[in-house]
Formats: sequence, C-alpha cells, structure tokens
Amino acid sequence: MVDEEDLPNLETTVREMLERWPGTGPVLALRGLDLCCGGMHPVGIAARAHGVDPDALLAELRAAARRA
Amino acid sequence: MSAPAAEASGPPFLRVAPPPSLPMRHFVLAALALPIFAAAVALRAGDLTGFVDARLALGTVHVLTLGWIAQTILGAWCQMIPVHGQAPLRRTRVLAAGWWLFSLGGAAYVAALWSGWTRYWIAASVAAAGAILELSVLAEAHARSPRRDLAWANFTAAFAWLAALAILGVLLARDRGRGLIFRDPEGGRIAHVHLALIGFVATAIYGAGLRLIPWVAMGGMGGRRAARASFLLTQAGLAGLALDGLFFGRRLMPLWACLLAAGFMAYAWQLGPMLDGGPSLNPSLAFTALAFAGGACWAAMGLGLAFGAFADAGPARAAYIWVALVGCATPMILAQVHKIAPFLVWLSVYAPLAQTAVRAPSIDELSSRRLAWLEFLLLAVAAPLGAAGLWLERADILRAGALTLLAGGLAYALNLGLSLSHLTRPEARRRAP
Repeated sequence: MVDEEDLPNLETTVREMLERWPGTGPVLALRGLDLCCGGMHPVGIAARAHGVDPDALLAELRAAARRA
Repeated sequence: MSAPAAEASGPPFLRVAPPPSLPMRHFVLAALALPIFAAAVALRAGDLTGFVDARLALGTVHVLTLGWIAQTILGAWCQMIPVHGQAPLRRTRVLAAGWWLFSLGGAAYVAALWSGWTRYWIAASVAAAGAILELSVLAEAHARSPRRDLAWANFTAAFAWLAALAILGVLLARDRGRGLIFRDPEGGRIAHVHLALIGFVATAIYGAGLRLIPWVAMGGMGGRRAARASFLLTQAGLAGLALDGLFFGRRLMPLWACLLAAGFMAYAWQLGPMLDGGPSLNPSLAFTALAFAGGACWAAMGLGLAFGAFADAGPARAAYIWVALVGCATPMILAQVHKIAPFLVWLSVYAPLAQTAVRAPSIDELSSRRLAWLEFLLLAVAAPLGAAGLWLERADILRAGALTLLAGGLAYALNLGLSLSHLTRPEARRRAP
C-alpha cells in the first residue's frame, strides 16, 4: 500500500517527478511535458503551459506512481 | 549594483532564473546571424569554393561561429547554468555588458575581414574580451552549483576550451600566418578550429544534451559509463590534437581523430534507449536525430582526413567544417532552442496567469509547428548540398545549399518572432515594472 503523502502533487517539480517516480515519464511525455530549462517548474504550471488539465494529469501521474 | 533575478519572491524555479531578456537577446541576435551567413555564402559562393578569398571565408565562417552558434550557446547557458545548477547569476549587468562587447566586437571583426582592414585583431580582441566577461559571470555561478554531474563537467571543460580558444584566436589574428608566434601557423589554425568545433561547441552541446535530450524523447539515457567514456575520450582527443597542432608538428593526428570519433560513438550509444519508446516524432526530436546523423558524417570525415583517405586540402576541409557547423551543431541548437525560447516566453508572460481564470495559450501555441517542420526539411537539404558544393568546388551546388539554408534560417527567425511577439501583448505589459 502506497502512502498517499508519498505521491506527487501539483507543486512537485517535473524534475523531482521523474527522479522519484520514473514511471510517470511516459505520462508526461504523451502530453509534451519535459524538463526543458531544468524541469524546476511545478507540474501544475507545466500542465497549464501545455494546455493540459492539471487535476486530470495529477490523477494519471499518481496512478503511474502507485504502479511503479 | 547587479540586476536582481527575475522573480525574487516567486516560486523556487523562478528565484534562480535570470531575467528572460538575457538569454533572449542572444537568441535574437543568433536568429539574425544565421540568415546573414547563408545570404553571404549564396552571394559569394564562387569565391568561397576552394577558399579563393581567404578573408571572405574567414569572415563568413565567423558570422556563423560567433553570431549563430556562440550566441545561442551562451544564451542557453544564461538559462541552464543558474536554473539547472540551482545557482543564480550574481552580476547580470556585467554579463549584459559582455554581450554588447562580444556582439559589437564580433560584428566589427567580420566587417574588418570583409572590408580588408588589416588590424582586425583589434576587433577580435574586443569580441574575446566580451566573451570572457560573459564567461566570468557564468563560470562564477557554475562554480557555486551544488549539482556536479557529468553535464557540469562538460560545461566546465567547454568554459576552459572557450577561454583557450579566445586567447589563441587573438594570437592567431595578431600573427596573421607569419609564424612569429606559432612556428606552424597551419597547425595553429587546425588547433583553433577544433578548440571551437569540439572544445566549445561539441562539448557544450554534449553537456546540454545530457540534461535536455532525455527530456526531448523521454526515453531516458542509459549507460553512465558510456557518458563518462565519451567525455574522457573527447577531452583527451582534443587536448592531444590541440597540443600536437600547436607545438609538435601534427604527428599523431590519426590517433586524435580516433579518440574523438570514439567519443562521439560513446555519446551516441546512450541514445539507444530513446528508440524504445517516448513521444511521437516532434520537430525537436527530428532536429536531434538530424544532428546525430550530421555528427556521424563529421566524425567519418575527420577520420578520412586524418588517415589520408582523401586529400587533406581546402575543399575537403571546408566541407568538413560545413558538416560540423551546419550539419551537426545547427540542428542540435535548433532542437534545444525550439524548446527553450517558447518556454521562456510563456514563463515570462503567461505563468503569472496560471492561477487566474484568464485563459492563457499553451507553449505549443506560441510558435508554429509547421514552420518548425519546414525549417527541419530545409536544413536536412541544405547541410548535404552545401558540403557537396564545397567539397566538389561547385559554386552552383554551394549556392543552392546556401539559399536553402537561408530559407530555413528565415523560417526559424519568423518562428522565434512569433514567440517573442507575445512579450508585447497586454498581459506582458501589465507585468512590466
């Protein structure tokens, strides 16, 4: 059972997301999210930058993180 | 007093970011230099095949190296070194002053070569001083970075080679082939060209690629051993080549060519996992693939020249340099700037709207993907055409390649302009201090 607090949130940076939960990489890649300029931006901002619904993305990222 | 970082009180990733104008001014000037280079080659193709006019060739090459490639790499470093390295730039005004010196000195250097002014080394010195000023600010932040990975090592080496390149360039400009400073001026020129092509350009691109390429393809980069081997082989090969060219009569050039080619192969080896998955093909990924194809041709030509597979003379050398700069470095630069520039514009103009109800465009909407594909296609044609024209000493083929490159360069400038136009929109003006 994965601790819910040990899952990504919208403030998690893209770089941290990929380093801590590598399984989220394909989810991000499918939506064109990457580590451009260091990946220091939070996933929430990156999602908006790419025209993706942040909450829907987060749900998918958490599912991928749980599977990993 | 130095200018503060962009958003001192913003999120962590903005606290270390430089003002967007710093990288952007490099990218804008670079976008002007590429079409100027292509137009100059197209106009004077007859004089450039076989280096009939050496000064024209030297000036034209420096439009590309100083104006396009160095400006873009320095611009990317302005963003990557503080943000990736988590160490903000401390003296951004010094860096901006260095940019002015580098840009004006570089333009004066090219103008002096083209116009026949014999004291062009003065302009070269101004450009070198500007570059060193910019590097001093970047290197200071780089030295403070807590992130000491292989990309950091590549950037460190590129800094050192660029400083050596600037000093050697000024000495060569002062010497003017008279053998006063270097007994073997030809060896000095070979060392200078390779410090530029491999020490600065390839090493900086290798370093940036270690951080950016996995995120372009999202396939992950395997083989840390291959990355380390690539770094060591490339640096050893370049150091040997430079010392051999400058001081030892170019006796072991085949060995250095082998080491450099092996370094490239080790670097390319890491890309294997990218082929297993990742996103659908996009312009950045296509440019990356084109750059590696160009890099393979560059390495093969280097081996051919070193081992005497073909005549080590002007036409083959000119084609070799074209393949390195237009066939390899240019697509790699386009791959990365197509990611960086729209992102910086979005971050500057639209990120503040992210928490509001105002609908902000996505990054993809800040530039044209169709134009990017057009740039790719034109570059994929221009690179081999130009190399063939130089090697075969066919001005018509070289002109065709240059005109194709000109079209690609203009398409890129237009695309960058589309992104930058967002900086003039009301959302951006409201944020202006």
